[in-house]
Amino acid sequence: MKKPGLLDRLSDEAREKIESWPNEAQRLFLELLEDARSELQRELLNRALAAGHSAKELHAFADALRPLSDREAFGSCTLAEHEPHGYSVVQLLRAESDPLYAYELKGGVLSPEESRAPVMPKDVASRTAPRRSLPQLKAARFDVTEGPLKRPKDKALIGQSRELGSSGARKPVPLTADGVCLLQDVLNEAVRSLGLVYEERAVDGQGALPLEAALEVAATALMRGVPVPIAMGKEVGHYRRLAVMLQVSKSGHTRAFQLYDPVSQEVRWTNEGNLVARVELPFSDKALKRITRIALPLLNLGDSLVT
Amino acid sequence: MSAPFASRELNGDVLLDELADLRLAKVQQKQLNECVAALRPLAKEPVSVAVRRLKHVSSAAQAEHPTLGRLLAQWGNRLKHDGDVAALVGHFERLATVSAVVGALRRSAERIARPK
Repeated sequence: MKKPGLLDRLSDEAREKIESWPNEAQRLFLELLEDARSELQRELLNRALAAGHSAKELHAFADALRPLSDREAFGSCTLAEHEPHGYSVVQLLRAESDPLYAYELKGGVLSPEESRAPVMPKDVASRTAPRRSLPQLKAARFDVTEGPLKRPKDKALIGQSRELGSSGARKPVPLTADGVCLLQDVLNEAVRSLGLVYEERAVDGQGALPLEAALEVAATALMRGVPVPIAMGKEVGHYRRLAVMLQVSKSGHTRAFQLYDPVSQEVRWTNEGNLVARVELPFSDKALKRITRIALPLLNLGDSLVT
Repeated sequence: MSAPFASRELNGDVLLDELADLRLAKVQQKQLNECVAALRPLAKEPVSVAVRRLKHVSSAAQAEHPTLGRLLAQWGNRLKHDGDVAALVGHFERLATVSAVVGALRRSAERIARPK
């Protein structure tokens, strides 16, 4: 690849994505970065790449951002507190990490398949000098209304992660059972080439998986060498930190689990009894009292370990 | 099974230390995955065959990433019994999986709500 300087400025996640692209696509993307108007725009493209968008989508996004000032670009890709209500938690969470998604969620329209120009979100369009006349905008199917911002048409994909199917086309992955998605989509994207699929579940609480059952399944996975991600918090439904179960050890009738917190970089063994007591976890942050969410691997693809 | 492969911390503290070294050396997830793919066929081989073939794998890895190649060579030198081979392959599988999972956790960390 050319331009090692620009490549070095990509995040690890973005580099992982782009290195699987054909050389020509990589070269064109790096040209997009060179042509970006500012460091902010390069960062937005970096994050959109890391979020897994295709080369065509990124080109359309770059074209949309290029005429904008930093303030306008930031505003078009960020959901502010005063935004219209009605966004789901999943939409909000995804928009935080994926600026292209946020751009479309705010009403921006990108058209990677056609050559027509992208359309800015309404609030940005109203602040910038008009680039096109109204007939031109309407010809580009931009619906200038006084009402609330329109949601992207692909509502079925909102909040859902997308995975490459066997044909190479992206297909939606079902949301988790309770509609919350802390890491299932990112996790499955990361482990797909290793032949793993995870299913994220809430632990305890109404309709959720009891911790005891979750630990039973987790132990089976760990015995087979598959790590198990968890979320920890102080009470049911509270997610303060993500961690991973690395190993399980059995001694007589008791089991112990080894947990690793990548943030504090602590690794601790704890007995199953301590976990099911739901009072304290073995990390230095004592606000982490219990396991509140878990991602369990489907060890035979299509089957769930959870009955 | 030899002592290094029977250690309780093979896939705990040892694995995490190795991951930290690999991350410092900027070994990409794709390279770890390719390493696992190259090692998997060795799992059922007798140790004499596995040692020979592992040398090829580690040499090839060394060319691209010296740190990964050295790690493979170090573990290859510890192979003594047939049971060690599956443990070695399993260790590198876990290395790659934990690396991918931890990477995903870091990318997902922004989604965690601020503490109350």
